[in-house]
Amino acid sequence: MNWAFDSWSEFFAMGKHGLYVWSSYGVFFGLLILLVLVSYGQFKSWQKTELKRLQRLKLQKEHEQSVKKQQ
Amino acid sequence: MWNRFKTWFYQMSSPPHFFEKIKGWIKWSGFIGLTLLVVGIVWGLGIAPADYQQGNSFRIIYIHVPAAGAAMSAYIMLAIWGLIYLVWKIKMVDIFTQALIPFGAVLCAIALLTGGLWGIPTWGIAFVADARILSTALLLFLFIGLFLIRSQVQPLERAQKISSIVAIVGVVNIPVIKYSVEWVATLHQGATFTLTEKPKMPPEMYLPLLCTVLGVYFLMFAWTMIQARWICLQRDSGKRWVNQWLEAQSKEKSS
Repeated sequence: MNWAFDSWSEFFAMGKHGLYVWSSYGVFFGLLILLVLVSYGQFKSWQKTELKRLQRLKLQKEHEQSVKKQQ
Repeated sequence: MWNRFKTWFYQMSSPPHFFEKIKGWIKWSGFIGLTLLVVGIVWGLGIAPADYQQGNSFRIIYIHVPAAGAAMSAYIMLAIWGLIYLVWKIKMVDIFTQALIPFGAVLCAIALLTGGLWGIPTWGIAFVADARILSTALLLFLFIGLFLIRSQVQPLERAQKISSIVAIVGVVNIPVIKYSVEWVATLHQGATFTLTEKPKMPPEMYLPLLCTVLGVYFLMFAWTMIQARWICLQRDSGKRWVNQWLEAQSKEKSS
């Protein structure tokens, strides 16, 4: 098996079609990476707010218990 | 054997159980998928010979075909899951549906855009009012429609029902896409792979394509399952197992 191109510059030029080939691969990876990043960011922000809510609930419970003990 | 499958099936339809058990599957299919994709792309871009008619622009095939094929398969899965959800109301199936929709939409958009970029040097025009292109555009609108139904319609049960019905009805578009290159005169070239015939390309051209096609399928599975895990957490928020997971995660971070 041999490389289809003799040099890197030929590889990047892709004949006369470099623009189309490379922008296609850019679209492919760009959109997929964007989807992953956006979804990950949304999930992380959900996780953050949910953890905060959980900790607030815990503090509230502890506070209520300490009030009961004092009475 | 059947009984073991039945217990596995029942266990997997419980979100906390699925959440733990699917981890290994995600790791493996993600690893295999990425490897196949990288191998296929390096092979397709650097080693496969240029096409005698199209020159190097044909190398777009190594992402265009996997994206289009996986988008169509994703839609078929959505229709099947929609039917299963309407009949048996299995919660996990609906979680898979919600997990797959955005990925399917992105794949369909990639197929259209790379097709346009391939069309400019090959046909002299990016998009023509052609049966294959119009039906694929319709597929993209179906994906976007399903996404909007799920993000806008309240309550969740209503969104699930409507999106299942839309997915099932819209599946008639899939054979239209598939056979549009055979039924009507079109600029688009015929299928590279069919189950019954030998590929119309030499192996040094179609083997890298096979790699990227399989790679995208493996990655689609891995990503859908990753999303499904997140949706499991979000839908069960407030439940004990989710709270335990959240606390374990925050402890891991601080230590």
